Amino acid sequence: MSLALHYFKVQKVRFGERTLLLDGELTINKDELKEILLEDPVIANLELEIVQPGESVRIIHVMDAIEPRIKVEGKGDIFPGFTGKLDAVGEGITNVLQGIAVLQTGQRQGIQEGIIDMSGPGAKLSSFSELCNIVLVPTLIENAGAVEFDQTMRMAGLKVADYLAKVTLNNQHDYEEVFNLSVTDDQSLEKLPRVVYVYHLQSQGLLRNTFVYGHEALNILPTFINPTEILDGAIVSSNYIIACQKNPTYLHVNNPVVLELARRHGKDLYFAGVIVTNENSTLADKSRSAIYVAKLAKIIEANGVIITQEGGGHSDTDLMMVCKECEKIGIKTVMIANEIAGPEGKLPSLVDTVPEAVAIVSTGNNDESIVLAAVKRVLGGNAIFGRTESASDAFKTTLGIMYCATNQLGMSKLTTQQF
Amino acid sequence: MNRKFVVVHYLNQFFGQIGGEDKAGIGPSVRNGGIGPGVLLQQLLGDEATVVGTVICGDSYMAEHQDLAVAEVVQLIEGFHPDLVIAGPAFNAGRYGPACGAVCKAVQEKLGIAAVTGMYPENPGVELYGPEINCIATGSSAAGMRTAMPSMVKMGLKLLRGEALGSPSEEGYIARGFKRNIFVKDNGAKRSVDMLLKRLNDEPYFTELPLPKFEKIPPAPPVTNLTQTTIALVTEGGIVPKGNPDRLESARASKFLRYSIEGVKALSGMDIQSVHGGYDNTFANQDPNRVIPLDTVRELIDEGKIGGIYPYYFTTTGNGTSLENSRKFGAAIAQELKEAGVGAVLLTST
Repeated sequence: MSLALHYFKVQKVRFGERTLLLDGELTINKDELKEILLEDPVIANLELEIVQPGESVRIIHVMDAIEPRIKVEGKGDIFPGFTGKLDAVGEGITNVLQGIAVLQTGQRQGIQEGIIDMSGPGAKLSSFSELCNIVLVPTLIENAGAVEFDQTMRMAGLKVADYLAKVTLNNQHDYEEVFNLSVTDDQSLEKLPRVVYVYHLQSQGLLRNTFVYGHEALNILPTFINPTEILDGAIVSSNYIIACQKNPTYLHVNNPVVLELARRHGKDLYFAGVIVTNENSTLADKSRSAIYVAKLAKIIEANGVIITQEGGGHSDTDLMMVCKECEKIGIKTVMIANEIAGPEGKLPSLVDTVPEAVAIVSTGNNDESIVLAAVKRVLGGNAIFGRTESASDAFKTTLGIMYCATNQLGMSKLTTQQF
Repeated sequence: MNRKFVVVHYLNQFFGQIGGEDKAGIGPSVRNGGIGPGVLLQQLLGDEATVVGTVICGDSYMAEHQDLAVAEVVQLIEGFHPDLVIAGPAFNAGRYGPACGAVCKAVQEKLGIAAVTGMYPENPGVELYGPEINCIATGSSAAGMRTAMPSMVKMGLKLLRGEALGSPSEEGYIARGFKRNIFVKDNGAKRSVDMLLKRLNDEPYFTELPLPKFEKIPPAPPVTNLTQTTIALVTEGGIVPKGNPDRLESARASKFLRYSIEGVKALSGMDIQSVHGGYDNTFANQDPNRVIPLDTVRELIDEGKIGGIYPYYFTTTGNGTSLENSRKFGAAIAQELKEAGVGAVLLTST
């Protein structure tokens, strides 16, 4: 199974007459793009904005981020089951429009604040501050229910990504990366430790769903998926709740653990596969999933597993149960988690633990105080959730409000240190 | 700025060269310059700082009159107008350690200056003052002086210069039990793969998140006389009157609330809703009895199966709510219910 990613680097984005990519500059025909989105009867109005790194801009109410990709060779389309036709993806050639993200913004009860600052101290905290962002601010028709909100928002972001990715066609890519994870007869690979990635999705109902091939992951049995399928958009997020505890679609196709393991495959490890599993709501469902994950890992003869999480609270239990079940049958584990340890880091970081959880990578403490600078412009809404002051003001808050600052897929270089 | 930093050294009667156990009852006194371990201290401080004086106090005097003795010591230290206090090191000495800890804490609080001590990690002074002081981990006996003092000086100078301290393992100090976010070279994904390969290759590795320990809470024994028992309804499901008049948070709750259900047969979606941000509220809003089963409890009371119901329900949001707050809420709710003679609680979670 071989997938080549052709990267097209974008350094600058602006609106213009024609949508095209020229010498690293992406031009977008705003009217044409708006027209495509306004085909959805649920969208009453729509603002589209472009922001570049370093601008004095704060983006609030960030729900999801998407990277434009398009398949140019091989079966299926990006985001199969949504904007893409349903077929098994992960082979051939995929074009990647790199350096930009489509940001969906919006507000609904339950969705917590998620902020990206494009400059100032806040810009050091979110990886999305380094990208050129195309920001969607849709206004939905009155009385749009939660179901319409969920579907419309998800599809709007994916449609914009699909539309933009087309600029790579008939263009020359800047560089390529080939992932060849096929089983070979190469004897030397057999000596390498076999590593499996256990990929928890949080799919627990409306606004907190994640999809695999367009299928809601709610109550799925753990299942195998090829790493390259993930890079081709097989997993799409509709989990909009907590800024640092939701994994955006952008990071599913750029999953840092998948990329790290794939790049090291055949060098110091053997990347034996990915198991996707859901964080379920009941103890019985959690147990079943954990036992099933360990069983699958054993079938593919894993020596060790990396386990990632999405969400906090009772999803800590999913993480711990998988850890326990794997260690019980001799499969070593490392987990990635972020912490809710109080402002000074004195409180227990996770709500559940097992004695087998001896190797954990921390991606930072969400509760630590940060101070954001005043900005000139705010996109995505008028007020920061829970604050009456202007959203453009300087203010003190906690790290967990910064979009993906302590991302649970291990994207950032943050960790905690004991003092 | 060429002014040298001013340092005062605190010692017990033994290291202060007054005498052994027979002199342990002696009260605080002052010497100019450094003596005993203070000579090494001055050598290590070099040109950057001067040990202007030493304050000495007997271990027993300190242990027996602690508040008074600490106040006397702080007053003597203040007389030198120091920038930094170095106390000990106390190694594993059982009275000297707490004395050094108490002096460091008092100096920090009362004089607003930095203080550094050194102790063996099992010294009772670590347990008493560890989270509040800068304490280098030392060997158990004075044989460790030559390794302890350089670390203490290094830490002291960093504090004087206003430099950030490294981790406990880098600087050699005993962790104070709090954490800070820091940026490191590699992203979390790479660190996780590196850590796993170390585990698989039987190489040493360090977890970045040492395990928190939780107290085990045994389930309460079954209620034996339910027909005679008044029960209460408590939930973390974010159930509140419609419009959320008291502004219960949808996550990270800072409070719990109680609402009257006196004379109410069943909850209705017309005037009750959920504000919980951690689950899809559709079904709870349709019928809030799904989260607070008031309707069923009333039926069971009518059938004589349950003695009665407390006239208020308690609610909070259990969604990323801190352990500290959860404990506080639990204790306060339990207190009220106990005083009211409630015998059992239906705790519904979402």
